[in-house]
Order: sequence, then C-alpha cells, then structure tokens
Amino acid sequence: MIDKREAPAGASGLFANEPASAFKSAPSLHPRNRRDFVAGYAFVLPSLVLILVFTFVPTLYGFAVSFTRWDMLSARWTFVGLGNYSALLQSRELWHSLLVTAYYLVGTIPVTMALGLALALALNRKFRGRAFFRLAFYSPVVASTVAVAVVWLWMYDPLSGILNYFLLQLGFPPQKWLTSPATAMPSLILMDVWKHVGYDMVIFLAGLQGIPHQLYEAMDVDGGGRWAKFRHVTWPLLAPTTFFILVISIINRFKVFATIHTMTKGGPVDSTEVIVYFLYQQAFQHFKIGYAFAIAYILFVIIFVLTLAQWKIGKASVHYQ
Amino acid sequence: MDSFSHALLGKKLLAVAGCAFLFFASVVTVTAQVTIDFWHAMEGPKGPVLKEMVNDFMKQNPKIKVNVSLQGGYTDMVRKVQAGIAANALPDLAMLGQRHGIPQISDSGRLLMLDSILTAEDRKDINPQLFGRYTYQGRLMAMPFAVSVPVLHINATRFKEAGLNPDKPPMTWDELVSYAKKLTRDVDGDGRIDQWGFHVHSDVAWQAYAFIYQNGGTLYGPDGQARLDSPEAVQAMQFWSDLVHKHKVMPAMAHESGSKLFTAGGLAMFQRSSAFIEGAAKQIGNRFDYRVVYLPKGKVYGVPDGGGGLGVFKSTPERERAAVALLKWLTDTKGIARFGRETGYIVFRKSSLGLEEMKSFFAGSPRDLVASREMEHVRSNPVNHADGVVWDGLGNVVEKIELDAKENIPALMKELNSKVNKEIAEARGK
Amino acid sequence: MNLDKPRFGINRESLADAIIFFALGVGVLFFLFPFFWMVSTSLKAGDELFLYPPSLTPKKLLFHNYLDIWSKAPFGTYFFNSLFVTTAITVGEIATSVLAAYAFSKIPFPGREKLFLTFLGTLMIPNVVTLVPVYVIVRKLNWVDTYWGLIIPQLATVYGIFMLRQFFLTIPRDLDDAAQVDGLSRLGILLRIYLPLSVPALIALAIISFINNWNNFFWPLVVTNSDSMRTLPIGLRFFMEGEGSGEWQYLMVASTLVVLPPLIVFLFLQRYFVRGITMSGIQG
Repeated sequence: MIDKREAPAGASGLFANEPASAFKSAPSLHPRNRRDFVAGYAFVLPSLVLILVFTFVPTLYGFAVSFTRWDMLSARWTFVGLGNYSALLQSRELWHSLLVTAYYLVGTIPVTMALGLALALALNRKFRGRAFFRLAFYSPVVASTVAVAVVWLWMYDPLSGILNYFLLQLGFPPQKWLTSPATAMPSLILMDVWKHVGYDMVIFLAGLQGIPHQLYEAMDVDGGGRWAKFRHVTWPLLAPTTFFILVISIINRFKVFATIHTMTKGGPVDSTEVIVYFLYQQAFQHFKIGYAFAIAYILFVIIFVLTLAQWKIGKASVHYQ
Repeated sequence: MDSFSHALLGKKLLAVAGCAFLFFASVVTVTAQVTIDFWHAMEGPKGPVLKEMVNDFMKQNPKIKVNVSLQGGYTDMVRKVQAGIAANALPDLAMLGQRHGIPQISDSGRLLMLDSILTAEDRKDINPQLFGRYTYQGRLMAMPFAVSVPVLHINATRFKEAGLNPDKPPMTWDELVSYAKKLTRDVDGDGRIDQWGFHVHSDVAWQAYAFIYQNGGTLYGPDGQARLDSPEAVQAMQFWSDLVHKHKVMPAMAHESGSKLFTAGGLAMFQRSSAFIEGAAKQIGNRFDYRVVYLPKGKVYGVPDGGGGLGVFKSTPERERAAVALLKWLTDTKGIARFGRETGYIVFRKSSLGLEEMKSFFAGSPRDLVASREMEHVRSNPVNHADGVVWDGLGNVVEKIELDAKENIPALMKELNSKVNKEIAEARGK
Repeated sequence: MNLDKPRFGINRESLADAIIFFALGVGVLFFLFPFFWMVSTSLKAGDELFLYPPSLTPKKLLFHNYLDIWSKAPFGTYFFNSLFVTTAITVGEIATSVLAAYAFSKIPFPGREKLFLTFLGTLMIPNVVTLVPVYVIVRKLNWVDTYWGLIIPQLATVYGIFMLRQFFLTIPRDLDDAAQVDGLSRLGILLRIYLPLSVPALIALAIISFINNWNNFFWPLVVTNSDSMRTLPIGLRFFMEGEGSGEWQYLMVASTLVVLPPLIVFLFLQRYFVRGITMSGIQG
C-alpha cells in the first residue's frame, strides 16, 4: 500500500515558503551579516524600482481616481467619495458582467484542464513524433491573440464561414456562433479552450515527469491497471500541479479582454460583456474614468479574495510530509 | 601701432562681429522651420494617399515639416487623444470622428475653434449639414474632410436573373420590399435560403439613422432633446424589424457577414458606406455586375454622413498657424477633389465637382458619382455628450428587435430616449 | 489479476493505445485547421476570398503575396521593432528576475516574505487599469514613441521572479554555505553556481517572455505614435480595420508573419521548455 500522502523527494510546494528539503537550518530572516542585508535589497532593487514605478504608483493613482468623477479630458473633476462604488454595486451592469465572467470561467477552465491533462497523459510516453504532437497542441498558445481572433471570427461567420460550411456538408444544421446571445459565449469558450489547452498540457507534462517511476512499478507488482495507476498515483501526486494551474487559470481568465474586444465587443445584447470589457467601455467609450477605476478595484478585491481562499484550501488539502 | 589704435581696431572688429551675428540670427529666425504632428485614422490603403498629399504640401511650404502618423481607427484615435490630454502629448492636427468624443475633447478646452477660418465662399461651397457633425455648442470644432454616406450596393446580375431591371432600382420603401422578396431565394433547393435580398452593414446604428431620416424623423429636436421616441423613429425601427421577420428578406444578426456575402454574390442589395466601393470592386472583379444606387426614400430622402474631420489642437502660435495652413490646403477645392478621387471619399465641395479632373473621373466611375449626388440629402445634428449613448443604444435596440419579432418597439425607443435625455442633463449639470 | 496479458497480440492496452493515437490524430487536425485556413487564405488572390462555397485551397499559390506585403505597410520596420524590443525585454527580464529570485530564495533579509507577497499581488491587476497612468509617467520621462518607452515599463513583471525563485529553492543551501566559506560574494554565488545549474529554467523563462512580449498589443499601441516605432501586432491590427479595404489575403499574410517567429522559437527550444518548467518545481 502506498502512502498517498508522501510527496516525491525534491518537490517544493508552490505556496510553501520554506520547504523542508531546501533549508537545513531553521528558517530565519535574520541577516547573517550586514552584507546580506545590503545584498538582499540590492538584488531586489532593480525589480523593486520597476514594479514601484510602473505597477504600484499607477495602481495607487487609479485607486485615488476611483473616488472622483472625471472624464480624463477636461481639467474639471469632482470628488464623490464612495459614490462610484455604491453606484456600481447597485448597478445591473456590474452584476451582469460578473455573471458573464463567471460563465466564462466555468465554461473554459474545467474543460481546458481536463483536456490538457488528457493530452499530457497521452503524450507522456516516448513515441515517435511525440515532439510534433506537442508542438501542434501548443502552437495556439504561441500565436498572437489578435491574429487568432481574426481567423476565428471569419471561420465563425454564419453565412459564409467555413465552419458552417463543414457542418452543412456533414449534415448538421448551421450554427449562429457569435451572432446569437445563446451561442456567442460558447463560441468564445470553444476558441479559448483551443488557445489554452497547450499551456495546461505542458505544465501537466512537467508535473507528470516529476512522478517517480518506482511508484508505477510498485503498482505493476500490485496488479493495478491503467485506471488504477491514475487514481492512486498520478492524480494525487499531480495535486500541486493541478492546484497551480487552477489558480493561474482563474487569475488569467478573470482578466480576459482582447478576445472579446476583437470578436464580439461585448455583444450580442451584452451576452459576452465580461467585466474587463465593461471597464474598458466605461473608461474609453463613456469617458467615466473614476467609475472605471472603481470597477477595477472591485475586480482586484474579488481576485484577491478568491486566490487567498484557494491558497488556504490548497494548504489544507495538499499535504506534504 | 600704438595702444589707442589697438583699442579702436578691437572695437571695430567687435562691431562687425556683432552685426554679422545679428544678420545670421535674423536669417535663421526668418527661415526657422516649424514642425507639426498630424495624426490620422485612415487605415489600409487610404493612408498612403494622405501621406502623398502631405508630402506635396511640404514641397509647397518648405518652412513647415509635418510628421504624419496613423493612429488606428477612429476609436483608437480617441483613446490616443484621451491619453494625450492626460499626459500632455497631443498632436497639432488630428482626424476626429463625430461620436468619438468631440464634445468631451472640446470640453478639455484644447481644440481650436474653427469658425473664423471659414470664409463666406466656403460656407456657400459646402453643404451646411456637413458641419453639424463637428459643431459643439454652436462652435465648429473640426473641418469636414473624409466624408462618406451610406449607399445601396447592388448585384445587377442577380436582378436580371430575378426578372428585375437594374436600371430601375427600388426608389421607395415599398419597392425595396417587393424587390427584395423576389431576390431572396433558395437557389439549390435544399430548403435553406442561400440568396438574400437585402442586408445592412455592421455599423447598424448609422444605418438606423438613415431609416429614421428617411421616415422624416430626426435624432434630436431643435430644443436639444432626443426625439427617438417620435412616431417617425419608432416606425423606422418597425420597418427594420419587418424586413427581418415579416418580409423575411434580411437575415437576422449576421451583419458582419454582409460584406463577405455580397462580394461572394449571395446578397442582392447591401446598405453600406460609400467608402466600401473601392474595396468591393477589387474583390468582386468581373464575377458579377456591381452597381451603386441611391438609398430608397421612405417619406423623404435622407442619409447621415460619416467619416472624420480635421481638428487643430492649441499649442504655440507658429504651430497653430502651420496646422491651420495644412488644414486649409487639405480641404480646399483641389485638396478635396484629389482626396476624394484617390480614396473614394465624397467630394463634397461644389467647386471641386466643377473641376475638369472630377468630371472625367466621374465619367469613369459611375458608382462614385451616385455617392457624390447623394450628398444633397445629408442630414445631421450638432454633437453633444449623449451621442455615444445614442449609438450604443440604437445598436442594442437593433439587436433586440432582430432577435425577437415581438419586441415592444415603442417601449424600447422610449427607454432609450429617456436614457439619452438623462445623459444630456447630466452633462449640462456638470 | 492482470487482464492485460497479451493474447493473440491484441490486448486491451494496445487497443486503448490505438484509440488514443487516433484521437490524437483527429485532435491535431482540429487544432491545426485554423492555421491551415490562415496560410491558405494568405496565398489566395483577391477575388477568391469570399466565394461560396468557400474554397479550401487557393487556385494558384500566390507566394508573391508575401513579397507584396512589405510594400502595403511598413512590415519590415514592424518586424524589426518587434524583434528588437522583444529580445531586449526578454534579456532585461531575465537579468532582473534572476537577481530578485536569488534574493527572495536565498538571502535572508527583513521584510523579505512580505515584499514577495506584495510582488505576487501585482499579478492580479488587469493591465487595462495601469495603461493610462503608466502612459502619463512615461510621458513625463519623455519616453513616448521611443524604444525606452516600449521596453522599460514591460520589465516590471513578477512571473519570472516567481518561477525562478521556486526553482532556486530546490537548490540546496549547502552550496551557498560552502561557497561563502570559500570567500565568494553573493553575486559570485549567483553567477558561478546558480546560473549554470538553471539553464533549462532560464530558457523556459526566455521562451515564455519572448512569446508574451512578441504578442503584446495594448501597451505598444498606446505608447507609440509613429509608424517607425510600431510592432508587428499593431501593424496587423491597423491593416485589418479600414472602412472598406478588406484585403483579407494580406491580412492573413500579416497574421502568418506574426505567428511564425514565436512558433519557430518554441520549435527549437521545446525540449528545454518542459524540462525547465519541471525543474523549477513551479507545478509542485
């Protein structure tokens, strides 16, 4: 019987700060000497300065603006305190866009991860042409979203696009794809899965390669077939990887924008109006900058809380020795 | 020589040097170059035409150097201008489109008002309706330049196949419907319509303006309040809905497909900007007989105008002068004629139409002639803060009525109307 | 009880293998089809674009479309800019990330963990938010429409630091201790010991950074005003939208040009990529 809770040697947990295998002595942040103190900050300095100037300060600036009503064009602005936030939380549009975003997340993430895992499993064994398959499935990740969106937009055209043509030839009814509120989001989801499966696949591959062979050989001795191997060895040991992909996927998908902007512009009838697109419209089409930044901060809080929650859950359920 | 003459010589040399310096300095200032930045929004093959014209301007005006750069489309341009105002990084001359923020940009106080540069001749030469789009609070904020109107692109070959005479295109709404019905067919007998009679391009709000104007309606009344819930506007939208649901001559929702379907030959009548003519001709080649005709009238003829105008941003007196000079050069009689000929935008100056080169151009391009004749029916309103709401709102209404035949159109238009008026009131109150 | 003993050469395992292989094959066709469509269209003539029924392949392979495009728009300039800017950002990112990652993993200093968490927090900010304020800052630095403006703000990214830190954590601290006893400074340890050990991880990071920055669209759009500074994705977008142009075959040529370099980079460095990610332990 394998102790499922044993992590393979050498693995360091994603969210563990001081994995036992990396430090022999008790972890302490007390600088050994003054040189360490200086070195520490000196090494971090370039990144720190860059992030301070180009991420931090702009974010704080945006935060300040979220308390005003301003159109960024005129010199006039008025302080409205929490006015933007309260208006937002009571607006139908904010909740609608959050719902749409949630639909998007639920539609893309499980499918992409499941497919990515399946592909990784299939491509984990050495066989001829493996590199070609890996490249093929990863290539959409590499391609520019703008280029890809243009191609898919055309393929999705309900009257003259190639996808409907194929469907017709195969005897299926043509679909409305991006032109109907019911099918627009599923169409975007399909394209998104295509675009990101390769990424999940590669990370799962890396995770799979970290699982020691001996565990599988032990299963062979015990008489386990493929499915048993998966259930008892692969899946549990992939837990940190799965967790990582889940966290990154959620953070990234929340920020989706370019696809919507190029393909549907939030329509039809707002059925694909994800939250970042809603933000963009408020800022650059309705000239309500303060309102837009308030949306940004609400979004940030949501992502932050979600990530924190995942971290806590992750720590509890993904055990290490 | 004694010391006294040394000193005198020294003083003389100094004086000569001083004069020489002043002379060179004055020469340099008099021939000083002014450099200005010109941002335009002509994507695709129209950009190089503009660049060529600016090069010619620079040849004729050696003291002015112009940096021409493409900033994307009109929406990109507005974003750039927004960012530019925030960061103090504005061009001198920019191409601005109507609903794309002219009121807000004007509010920033950075635009030069152009009423003073128009002469009496200009006002006679240009249809005053064209200024509406660029007039804010009674002042002209940009000069019309790249003008387009929606026209009806038709596939004359399909007309003949259906027994219709393409030399007598539909002139009224009723004729439009009856023609379109004959042109909407299931060609290969598989139970699905593969040839459509009529369709409209994806800038649906603009096309909706056309229907509203044709029905005798307007977007705003003289009091500045919206008129979208007027019976004329409501009927116009009802007609739109009927085209899809009742007469079944227009496919629902697939507006992006319109251009592709038309060039493929599967659409008989297509309502789209005159700016489409050139590209369409290239893509269609000889595959069918492609013609351009007037949009039919409802109760009257009426079309909206589109495109972009030229606005000048305030800076230093020299640069403003240079920018205005460029603006006047681009939009004078010859400028508009050349720009129109080479890009397909409308030649909107009456004096330009009289030029010899225009007459021969139109002789060879009957399609552009029709577009240019439609100019006399242009309607417009002065811009205000709510234009974006009107545009998005109408787009939304169109989507809803195309998806559902039973939508309550009067209610939708009334809701939109109050939204627009609310926006206007808010902007006033600021 | 092993049901998988081979019998007559066909067993459950190899049947499953065959099905998987077949599924993979179909999957690859589906995955590569959009690219096929893109390239096929790029070789068509203008009046072949919108036929119904659509043609899967061009009548004649118009390779000279790929030559024509350089004159349609300054794609040569765009290409060079993309190459230069992307490479510069990748190199800069690796340099700054390596330093910070080493500090975060091996140098004890007060406030380290809190600082790292703050860094991580910045990952959650959508870049639409920081767009305009960063533009204002860049303007004040007079970096608008310059290579500085294109490169420097993009160096502020945490993903690389995160990944390298995780990787450095797997290197035993004894190495550091021994080296310090030998008199090596922190910088020396980093350069002489850690870097050589991390080549796959560095390559993986380089690939990720190159691909992301090559495809970056919004920031270059905002910070450049003149054509001479623009990058390929922007050139592509500008070429696409025009009130009536619709020269889709050239649009597809441009798309192909945008997609090709990252693909080539990945093709050649594939091996290192997976290995690098594995070694960084970022997945667990």
